[in-house]
Amino acid sequence: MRVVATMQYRNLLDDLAQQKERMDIAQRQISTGLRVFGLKEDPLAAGEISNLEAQEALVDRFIHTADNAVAKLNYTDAVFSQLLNIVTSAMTTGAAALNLNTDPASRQALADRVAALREEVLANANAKHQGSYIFSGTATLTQPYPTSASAYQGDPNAIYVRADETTVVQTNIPGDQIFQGTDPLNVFEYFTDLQADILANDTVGINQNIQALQGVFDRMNALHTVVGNATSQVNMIKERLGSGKLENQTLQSKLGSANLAEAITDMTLAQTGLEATLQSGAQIARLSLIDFLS
Amino acid sequence: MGTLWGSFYIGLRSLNASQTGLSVTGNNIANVNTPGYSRQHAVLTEALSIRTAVGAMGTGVDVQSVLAIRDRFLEYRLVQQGPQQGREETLSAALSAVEAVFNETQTSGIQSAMSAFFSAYSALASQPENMSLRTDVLTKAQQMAALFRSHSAALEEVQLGSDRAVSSIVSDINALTAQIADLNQEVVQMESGSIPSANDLRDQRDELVRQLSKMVNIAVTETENGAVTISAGSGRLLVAGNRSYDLTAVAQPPSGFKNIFSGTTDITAEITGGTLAGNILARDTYVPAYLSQLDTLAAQVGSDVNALHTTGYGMNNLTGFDFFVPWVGPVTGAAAAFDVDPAIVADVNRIATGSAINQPGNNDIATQMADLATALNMSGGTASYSNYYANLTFNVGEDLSRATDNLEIESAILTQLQNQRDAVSAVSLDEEAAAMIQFQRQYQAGAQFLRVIDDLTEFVINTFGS
Repeated sequence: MRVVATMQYRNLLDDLAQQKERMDIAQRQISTGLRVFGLKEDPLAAGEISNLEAQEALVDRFIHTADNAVAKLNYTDAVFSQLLNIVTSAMTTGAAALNLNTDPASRQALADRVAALREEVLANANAKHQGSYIFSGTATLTQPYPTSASAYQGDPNAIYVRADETTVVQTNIPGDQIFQGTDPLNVFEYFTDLQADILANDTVGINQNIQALQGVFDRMNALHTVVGNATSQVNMIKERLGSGKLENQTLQSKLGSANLAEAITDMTLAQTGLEATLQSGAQIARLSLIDFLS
Repeated sequence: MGTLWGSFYIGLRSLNASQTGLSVTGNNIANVNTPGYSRQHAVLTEALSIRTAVGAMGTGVDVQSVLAIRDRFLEYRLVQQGPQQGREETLSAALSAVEAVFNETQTSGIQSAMSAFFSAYSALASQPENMSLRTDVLTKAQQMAALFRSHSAALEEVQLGSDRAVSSIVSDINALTAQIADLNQEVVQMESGSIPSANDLRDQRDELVRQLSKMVNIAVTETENGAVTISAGSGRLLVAGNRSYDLTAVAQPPSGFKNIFSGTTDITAEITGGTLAGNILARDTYVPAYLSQLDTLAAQVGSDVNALHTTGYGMNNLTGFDFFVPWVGPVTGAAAAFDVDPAIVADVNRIATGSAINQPGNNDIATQMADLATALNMSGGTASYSNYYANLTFNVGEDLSRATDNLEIESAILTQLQNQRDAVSAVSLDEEAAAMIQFQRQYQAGAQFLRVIDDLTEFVINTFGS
């Protein structure tokens, strides 16, 4: 084939462009750690990465929801623990009153303690988490029990959050279920009655109230377990989501991350190729019969 | 029998021939880098001999013609290849601009904005009463809407750019065809006279035809008188003899994009090659497909969110509000108009989270809203929003990848053809150097011969003349 300078220069420029493109890709892979920079390099991987990123965002969302739910459930759990201690104290105080016979001063002191415990129950019943009442159902801005004499002001509705794509978890217990349940009186009324019965030295009444408070304790304990179970469930889901997220990120990395060893090798090869192309290209201009004419 | 005077003429012819040869060589060397130049060759022929008593005597050398070295088949293949390469080059460039819009491997885009919006609603489901979280939902919704609008605007800008290029290319085509028609006239005039082949004019014309072939699919035929007839598309005349026929780019309603007319005939559909076809393809086929998918997604997201939102209650116990500005009618333009309803912007308490009045902690609607992120509401119930958008980005990448691959193939073919043409027609400095030595030696020998004849003539005059 007849070879002329224009062909050689054209081919040289093509070769240089290819070597430089190869170097550019390798250099970008090394400096960014990414394998895919644009959609055209690997459309399938780019589409898949897009889907995986959406899934990761979804997992992050569930993890965030789970964190919020766990924080609220942990707080609720702590309130339940306090309530159980208070009710236990009330029953203990009632039992102490049964052994005091007719000492009015001591009875007064025990009655006052019951009254104080009732106010502690009230404070816990009106507990707030991040500005919302935890025991007022979905009426979260309404104080469930403004006073110990008040009826329940919240609603009976549960609040659920989605912990993952298929699981919803209840994050509240409406106050009426805790403080009254199916009893004829609410917990405050039992406390008030116990206080009166202690003052009146009504042992029958004290016994009845202690039994009623035992029922309250059992109910609260059962609901406390519900809260604990929900917390465990959310924590387990969170752990599973974390594993899923890690797998997602691994897959994203496989699809989108550069193999640095390979990229560095490519870079070296491209650099060698470029140098060889430049050196051989420089010879094109030198070798001409024109140069040998005297 | 030859004479001394006859020998003088033989020497003179030799000098003339070698001078012509050197001129042709010089011209070749001067045009070594001229695009489209075909090397020329002085065709030497033996001058007519004269009859003498001892037989036919040669009278030296004549320059029969100066011939341009061309391969018509390769020239034809180059004109054929031009439109393929031109189309893929333009399409690849236009789709690269689209890739930049959708390239979420480098920047955050609609995919992450949609995720952020539904995640913000999910966070709000955990605390529906939280004003900051409400504001966050609004912010994320505005960011998502802004991205839909900016992506739509960017795609429309690519369309407009292609449309502007269509007008510009049509002007360039008309300028080229006018020049080719002028050159046709000059070639015909020159070749009908004493010059057998108007080499330089033909080279210029061939180069212009090659440039034209990169702009539009053309068919070229050469007539007997040396003029070329050029037609575009399905035989629409562009050049015939010394006349050129302009194409026009005429804006068409409702888009205002320009179609290509030959006379009064719309030939847009016939333009299948060249940069003109690449721009038309990008403007009328590829970008509208992406816009349509973007519009479909925006319309569906807006419609689904609104459908749910209107059934819910905000913190102010109001219900029946759209979240996004409702879109009515065909989806075309939905992405460009996508925005949060002004009533929501004015008061984030209107963001619905609950399914019942007077239940600020009720998060039913917020939870369902967050669930929309994974609901299969696209593509006839087979894809989520993110799947649909990922598919859109895949389509963009796939189209660009195909166009880039095609461009590489067509460019490689074009380079190969250019090399083949150069192998035949381009100037080789080695060859020209050799020719230069050849003609130099011929000239030197011719001059030496003349000196010998001159010496002999002088001897004859001095010997017999005195």
